[in-house]
Amino acid sequence: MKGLRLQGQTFVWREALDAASIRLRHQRLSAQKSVDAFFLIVFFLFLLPLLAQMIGRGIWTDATLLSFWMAIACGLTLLVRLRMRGDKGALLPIMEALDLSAQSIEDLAEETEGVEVGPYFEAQTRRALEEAYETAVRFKNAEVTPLHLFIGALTTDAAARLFMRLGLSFEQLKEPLLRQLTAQPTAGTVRVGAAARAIVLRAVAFSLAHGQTKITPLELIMASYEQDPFLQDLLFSKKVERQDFENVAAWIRIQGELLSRAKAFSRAASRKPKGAMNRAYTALATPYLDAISEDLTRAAVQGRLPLLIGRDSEMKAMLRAIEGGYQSVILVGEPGVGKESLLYGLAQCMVEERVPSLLQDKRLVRLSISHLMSGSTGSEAQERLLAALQEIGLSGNIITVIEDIDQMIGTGLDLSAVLASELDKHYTFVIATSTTMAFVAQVERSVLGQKLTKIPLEEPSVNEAILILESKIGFIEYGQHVIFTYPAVASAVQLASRYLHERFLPEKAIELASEVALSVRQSRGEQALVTAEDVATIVSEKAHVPVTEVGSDEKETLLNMESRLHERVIGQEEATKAISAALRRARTSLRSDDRPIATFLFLGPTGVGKTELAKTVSEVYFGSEDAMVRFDMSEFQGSDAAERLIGGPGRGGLLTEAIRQKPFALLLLDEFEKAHPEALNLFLQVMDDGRLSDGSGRTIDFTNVILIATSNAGSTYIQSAVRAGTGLEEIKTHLLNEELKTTYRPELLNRFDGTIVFKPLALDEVVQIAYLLLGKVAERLQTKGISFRMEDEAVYELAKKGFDPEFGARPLRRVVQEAVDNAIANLILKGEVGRRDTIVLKAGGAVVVEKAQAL
Amino acid sequence: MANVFFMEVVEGVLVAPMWWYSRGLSQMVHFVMQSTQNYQEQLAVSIWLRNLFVPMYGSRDFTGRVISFVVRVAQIFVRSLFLLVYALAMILLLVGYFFLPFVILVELLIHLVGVFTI
Repeated sequence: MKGLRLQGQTFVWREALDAASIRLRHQRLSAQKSVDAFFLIVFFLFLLPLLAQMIGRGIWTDATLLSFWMAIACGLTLLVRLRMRGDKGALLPIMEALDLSAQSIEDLAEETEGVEVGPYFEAQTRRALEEAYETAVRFKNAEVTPLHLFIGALTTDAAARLFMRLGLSFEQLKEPLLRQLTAQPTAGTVRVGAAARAIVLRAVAFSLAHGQTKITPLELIMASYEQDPFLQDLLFSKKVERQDFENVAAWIRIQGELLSRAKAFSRAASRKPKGAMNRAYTALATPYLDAISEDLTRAAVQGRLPLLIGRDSEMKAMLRAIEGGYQSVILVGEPGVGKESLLYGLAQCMVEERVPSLLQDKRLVRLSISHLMSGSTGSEAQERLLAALQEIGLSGNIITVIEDIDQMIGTGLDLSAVLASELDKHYTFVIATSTTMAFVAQVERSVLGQKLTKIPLEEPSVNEAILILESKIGFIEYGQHVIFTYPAVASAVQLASRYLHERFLPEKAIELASEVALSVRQSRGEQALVTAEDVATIVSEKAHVPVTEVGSDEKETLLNMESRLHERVIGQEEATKAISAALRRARTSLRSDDRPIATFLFLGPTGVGKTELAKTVSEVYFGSEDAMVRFDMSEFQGSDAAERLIGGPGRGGLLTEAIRQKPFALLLLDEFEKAHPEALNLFLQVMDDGRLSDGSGRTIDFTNVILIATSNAGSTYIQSAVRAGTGLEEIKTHLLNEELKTTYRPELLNRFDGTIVFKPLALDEVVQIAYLLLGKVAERLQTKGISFRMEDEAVYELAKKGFDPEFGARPLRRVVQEAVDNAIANLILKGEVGRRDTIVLKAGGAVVVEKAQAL
Repeated sequence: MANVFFMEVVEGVLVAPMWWYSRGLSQMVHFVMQSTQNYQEQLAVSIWLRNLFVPMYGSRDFTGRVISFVVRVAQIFVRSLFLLVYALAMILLLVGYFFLPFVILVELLIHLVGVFTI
């Protein structure tokens, strides 16, 4: 018999799992119920004589009293039986800091002696084991395997909760599971295999590691999943990975934990005084302080503060600093990382008195800086602060919290010196908070700053934030009456982390989840299931970037991207192909997340469609031409170019501010070669890391930017080479190796995802462009109710007039304006054209009106 | 099945008293101790004792200290009395629990004899 050895204790599973033992257990269960009913009936029967006696007011005989005491005996036996059943029975021991990574199934020692794990099973776990056995019998399988255990556990409530959260239904798993069951070896009798026995012991180890007192079906599911590659593959195909599985299991455990914590807390809260007076009656009333502060311990007692999840090490560090030497502390972290939550957590610990003796029987009071400072001069504010501190000192049971303490320093009303000198007297201490930036800029080097012990609060990792959000989701679900799936929770954190900049986890994910819950309830009603797609829709709306799954219409668009681009850009096959491929990669998330979506260098003479292609990409990918941020790099030739782009202390840069406000944009850098070398170096970093630090030290994210640099460098060579009939590939190689060497540093050229050569336009292409331009004229006239038609000969003439080998199609727009737009304008002004009429552009340049039939 | 039912009845009669004096008793002892402890915390006698010489309501002058001391002594006396009464009641409950099966058994025997002697 294999055993599980953990921290010196051995656990074994000796219990039989076969048809006889299952039958016996079921018989015992029904016998139990019958015996209970028997005792209940006998209890009432024995009470009958007593009732008769009371109604008849007869004499108490021995028989009546005997029956009375028999009723008592039966009733008591029944109560004991029910109590024994409700009794949880044997509870698993608590094992601190259990490391399961070192304990794998293969390492199990061969044991014969040890603690039997059977009594530690929850009733549901036992039912799951029996169901596993019965499944094996139904399919005539030779052995009960981890697969059977998994299927057995699927019938339990825990599994229903787990798969509901994962957004999976049993129907989705049914077919492959049935196929796998039929593929198992068959035999006449079923025995429990070694792998299955090992899974049960592994489930025991999981329960111990999570500090549980019983083995629940959840652990059985987790252990089977961990050991069976088929189950892993099956769930993987349904987009469930190991981490997801663990996080959902943690979620279910967190919910149970929150419930028991809330119960324990409300018990403790009933003893905590609700007023200003402490339990030792040493405190004083603090009317002045009460007017400018909020009592956090009272708020906690009233159940108005959310429970704190995690942040154990920060809480310990804070308590250590306070306990060590009556030290004031400052919690430093970005906005939204949980400074306030940590304070609320402290208030709750103080209610439960789970704090060092220094904090026991005290109250946590948040001083409001705005109340302190509003409508007062500097000396008045100082007086108010001193008055409040005096009350705090006299009362002796108050711990002061000052949020955003940086507001006290360096503004018109500087209160830091007063507070610092009072702290020096050691009659009280404060717990302050500040953002990282304000701490560095204002607090750190101030007199007050030197009296505060810094406790840094880092932004939690994505996975930690998922666990935090899981603990908060219950409140959101309760508030909006919707149900979150795990993919929705995970993507709320992942998408918030990736697309909602300027804010920090976990707050931004919690707010996003609340927003999604509200929108789902409004659109689909109560009890609706919130999915990852719902979260993506809201993020897409907020961030103006497509993050939802690619829909069928969009699939079509992406696959036919080249023709979409060719609706506006004529020729330039290579350029449109490269851009389309990059956009398809970006939209299917195959791109790297720490670089811009795509970076291109467009080379070619002027007027060949470089800018037009960039505009088209902006419209197709970001939904509008307005999503384009355009810089003419010839304006950044001076030595101050880099500083103008990224700004200086307290002053935003042109580039960094533009991208900070519009992080999902097409960044077009015209005449790239003309920029100052230092400015070019900045773009090296953008292309490498996908971010740039601005002059104030803020990191600006460029990972959602398509960067397109255009350049005329080497145009003369391109034109002559194309005329000479050289291939585009050859032209590109020559450009990169020879022509551009003097203009760009090789490392800069190598950073671009693609260098694309735009070839000079031929007359044919200019004709097509002329059609496009005239098409726009027609569109504009359409809005006035006027039709427009052009003869092919006329278009050809226009194209020929507007074609310049040196300037490409650029002169064409002017030609169209002069020859067509001007003539039409005159016709309209003279009143020669009305609604329903048709304007025709004829060969020879004549613009005539075809009057519509009179009505 | 009849066998199983019979075993269950026998168990019901035999195991119930065993549970009463083992796990049941320990749970009862735990309940009595826990509830006395809770009552003690509610009355906060230990906190009053710890602060015997600390003036109440921050009045640190001599009169304040004397009054505080007197009030605290009185408070401690009354609160201790309450606690004592509560603890006694709890002990009575425990004793009652312990002897309840005996009482039932004796009463059953007495009245059984009574029924048969008439």
